[in-house]
This record gives sequence, structure tokens and C-alpha cells, in this order.
Amino acid sequence: MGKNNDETKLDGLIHDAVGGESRFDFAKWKSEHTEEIEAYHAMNAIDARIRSHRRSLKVSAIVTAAAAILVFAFLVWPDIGNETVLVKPGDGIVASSYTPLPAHLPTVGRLNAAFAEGGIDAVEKFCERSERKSGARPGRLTAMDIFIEFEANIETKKGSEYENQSDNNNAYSFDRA
Amino acid sequence: MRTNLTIIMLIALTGLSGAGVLDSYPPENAAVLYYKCAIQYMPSDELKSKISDAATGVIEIDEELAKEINGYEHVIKELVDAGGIAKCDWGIDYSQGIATLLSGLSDIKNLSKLLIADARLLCSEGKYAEAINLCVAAERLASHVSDMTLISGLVGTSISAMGDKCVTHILGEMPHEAKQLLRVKTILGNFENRVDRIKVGLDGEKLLAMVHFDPRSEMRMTPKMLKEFGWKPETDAEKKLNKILIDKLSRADDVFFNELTDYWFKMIDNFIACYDLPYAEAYGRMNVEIPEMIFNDSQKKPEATLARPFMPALGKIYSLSIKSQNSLNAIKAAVEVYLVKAKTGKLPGKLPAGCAKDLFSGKDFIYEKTADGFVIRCQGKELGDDKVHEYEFKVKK
Repeated sequence: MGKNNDETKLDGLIHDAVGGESRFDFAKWKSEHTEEIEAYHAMNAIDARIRSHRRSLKVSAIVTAAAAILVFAFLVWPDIGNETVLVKPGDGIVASSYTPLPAHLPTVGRLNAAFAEGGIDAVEKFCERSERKSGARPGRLTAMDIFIEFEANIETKKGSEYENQSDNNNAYSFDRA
Repeated sequence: MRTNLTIIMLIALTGLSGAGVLDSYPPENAAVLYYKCAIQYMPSDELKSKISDAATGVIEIDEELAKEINGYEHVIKELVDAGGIAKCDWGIDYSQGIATLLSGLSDIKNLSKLLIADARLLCSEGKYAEAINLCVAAERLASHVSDMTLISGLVGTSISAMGDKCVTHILGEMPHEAKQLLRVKTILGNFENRVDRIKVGLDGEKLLAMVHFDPRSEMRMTPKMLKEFGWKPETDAEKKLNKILIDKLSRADDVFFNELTDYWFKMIDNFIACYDLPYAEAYGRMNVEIPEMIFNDSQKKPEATLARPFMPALGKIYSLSIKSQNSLNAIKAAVEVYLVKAKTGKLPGKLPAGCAKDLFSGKDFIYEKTADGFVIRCQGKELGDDKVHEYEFKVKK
């Protein structure tokens, strides 16, 4: 569409320049003025690139400004996204979704029951038993323990997933010096 | 141009976020530090048991145990820092009602034992002011943990009892100089009233109950839930009311749930009003009269039948909180006695005027000198245990 449009425009310009009455042989003129026509098309192509670049600059500026406004709004207005949705009376009955938790977990109800039966001691014993059942914890975990464990995992990975990729091995080694 | 704009924005954002990180310690919420300490404090069962015995004064702290306790200095430092923070939000999800999890209570108790064990260690090294500071941190932890619910308040009461024993021990060991004692007096004077502390926990209890009493809540009381919570009709009247109750719960009857809420709050208000009465009268109302009234109502009104299992054991909790505050009052009175000794060189013949009162009787404590110090005794009995409490204080010769 661009090229045809340009040629029509060029035809019109020449027609205006030479006068409307006479018939002009454009094909003949075009074959005699190839350099001028190429120069005209080249100029049009440059103009189009500049226009396109200007458009993209405008879009980038708008996007950057919008992003800056959003970031600023989140920084100065921490409640964004925290709107409370209130359930009004008459909204309809919600299905009950109560699911009992595992019996060893210290819920308010269970601790209340323990207190009713055996006072503070029973409450504390329930909490202790719950802590034991919730799973073992490491005695003490240092940064070095985490590092060693991390490195051991990588060694295991090297031995299986990456065993045939000797070129990649250096990427997973650590320089402890 | 575009690159410059991006760089300016990045610098601005980095500057803003950096300021937040640098200013984040201590955090505004003490619970952050308590949970952090719980992650860092993972002693073996054997060490935990030794630290517990050391905290309660069952064993002396030997060199090996002292080394272990000192190894947790970073945890103790953060516990003290947490004590200095006013706000403590434990992140409890009250929307689960009485199925709400109160995880970490055992960890919190263990952390308090670490604090008190270290206080005793510092005391044995003659660092009395530092030892008292750790007892203050333990009391703050007790106060903070009591903010969750009434039941967590009991753990707070237990921590306070351990702290009181330690303060009593330190007072017996430290040289009786007026300046040091006045510092202790000021510190104890700033302790939160342990009876009022229970009222804060009651706010959590109200939130929990409302979850079950709202007919539009996902956690509203249903016949299935009633069964899960272990409620069974026992008397003939309850068996008759049970059918009505199940029908109203199944239909999520608005009117019934409103009556239930009103009844529960009315009874809670009746309990709270007792806190302003003298001990014996309050005890009678909270442990006999109000529970009887609720029982009688529960045989006639379905809302009272359902409210009954949701009533916290406020009578028992009230007694424990009075006992806890009375122990603190006795220590306050003892500090006045030590102050007289610091000024005159000898123990007074009678309790100085203006001392904290015995809450069981509403009168002054009884003061008696003993061979190795003195005793402060209550004039009134603790009615539940039918026991007269007395508190022993030592004086170094």
C-alpha cells in the first residue's frame, strides 16, 4: 500500500507541475529519472523509520510514567489491595466448612478441655506432647551445616543428572578458598 | 534519555527499600523476635530438662551447664529486646474459633526457662542488676503471651510464677543497698497487673466465640461440630432440648444465633463485673453462683444449653490470676522490708506502712522474722485449694 500510494502521490505532483491539460507519459519519464525516484523512495523509508521510532519512544515514556505512578502509589499507600469485603446480613447462608485438625495439635478447644481436667499442668503437658509429635528438629543448625548440606545435594545432582556433561561441571563447583 | 530515567527510578527505589531494611531492628512486633528465638533455641531433651531444673532452682548451675546457657546468649539478647517492644501480635487466626491453633506455647515456656536459668547464673556470678533485667524480660514474655487468649494467659501465669521465685532468690542473695533495692522496687512497680492481664485474653475469647455464633460464618455452630467438640446431652431436660437445638443449628436460625450471642456476652459481663469485688465474694459468684445460673438456664433455654460449653473456666482462671498477683504483692512488700534493713542495718519489727496488700483478705500481709530471714504470709485463704500461702525471704548474714 505504501509504495502504490507514493507513486500516485508522485504522479500527482508531476501532473500538477507540468499542467493539468497535457497527457504525461509517466513510464517514459520514470525510465529517464531512475536515480531521482530511488532517492525519493529512500527519503520516504527514512521518514517512516523516524516516525516509528518516535512512536515507540512515546509509548515507552507513557509505560514508564504509568509504572512510576503505580510504584509510587504502592509505596505511599500501603492499604492498596487490602480492602475488606464485608458480609452483610441477608447475603445467604454459607456452607459450614469445619474440618477437625489432627488430635495432637493444640487448639483452643483442646487446651480448654485439658485445663478443665488437670489445670495448668495438663495444658503444659498437652503443648509439650504436641511439640514432640510435630516432628524432630535438628539439634542446632549453623550456616556451615546449611552450606555443607547444599554442597552435598549438588554433588548428588552432579553424579546423576549431570554425569555426562563434564563441560558443565565447573559451573557447580565452589571455590572454598 | 530512557536509560537515564530508568536509572533514576532504580536509585530512588533502592534508596527507599534500603532505608526500610536498615530500620527494621528491633521490629515493631515483639512476636517476630519470639518466633525467631524459638527457631534458634533447639536444645536436646537432656539439656532442656537441665535448664528447666536450673530455672526452678532444683539444681545448681555447674560449669558445663553455664557454658551451654552462655551459648544461647544471642537468643537471650533478642528475648530481652522483644520485652522492650510494646506491641505483640502473634498472628493467631481467630477465624477458626475454638479450633484455632495456639502453636508454640511450649516453645515460649522453654524460652522463659532459658531466661530464668540465665538470671540465676548471673546471680551466682554476683551480677544482680543484670539478673533482675532477665526476670523483667520473662515477665514481659508472660504478659505478651497472655494477649492471645485466656488459655495462653495460663502459660503466662506459669512463667510469672517461675520469675517470682527467681526474683525472691536474687533478693536473698544480693547485698541490701538502698540504691539497688530502689531500682528493683521501681521495676516491680512497673509490672503489669496480672489480674487485668486476664481481661486482655478475654478479648481473644470473644473473637473465638463470635466465629461460631455468626449464622453466616463458615465456622458457625452445626450439629456435626457440636458432636465433634464432645458435647452430649446428659440430663433429661438437655435431651429434650437437644432436638430443638439441632433443628435450630441445622437451619442456621438467625433469631436463635442472636439469642445465643446475647446470652453468652451477658454471662461474660457478669463474670467481668466480679473482678471489682473483694476476693471471697468474687470467688463465690464466679465459681458457684454464675455457673449454677448458667446450668439452670441450660435446662430451659436452648441458647443457654449451647452457650454453656463455650463458657471459659473464668472462675478457676480468676483464682490463678489473684494467686499470681498476690505473689508479686508479697515480693513488693519484701522489698520494703529489705529497704528498711538497708537503711537501718536490721530487719524491721513490723511490716512498713503502705506495703502492697494481700488480695485474698484485702488486708496487709502478716510479717514474721525467721532464723535466716523473714516470712510474708497471707491473712486470707485461697478458697479453691483451701490453703494459706506464705512466701519465704532470706537475708544473708
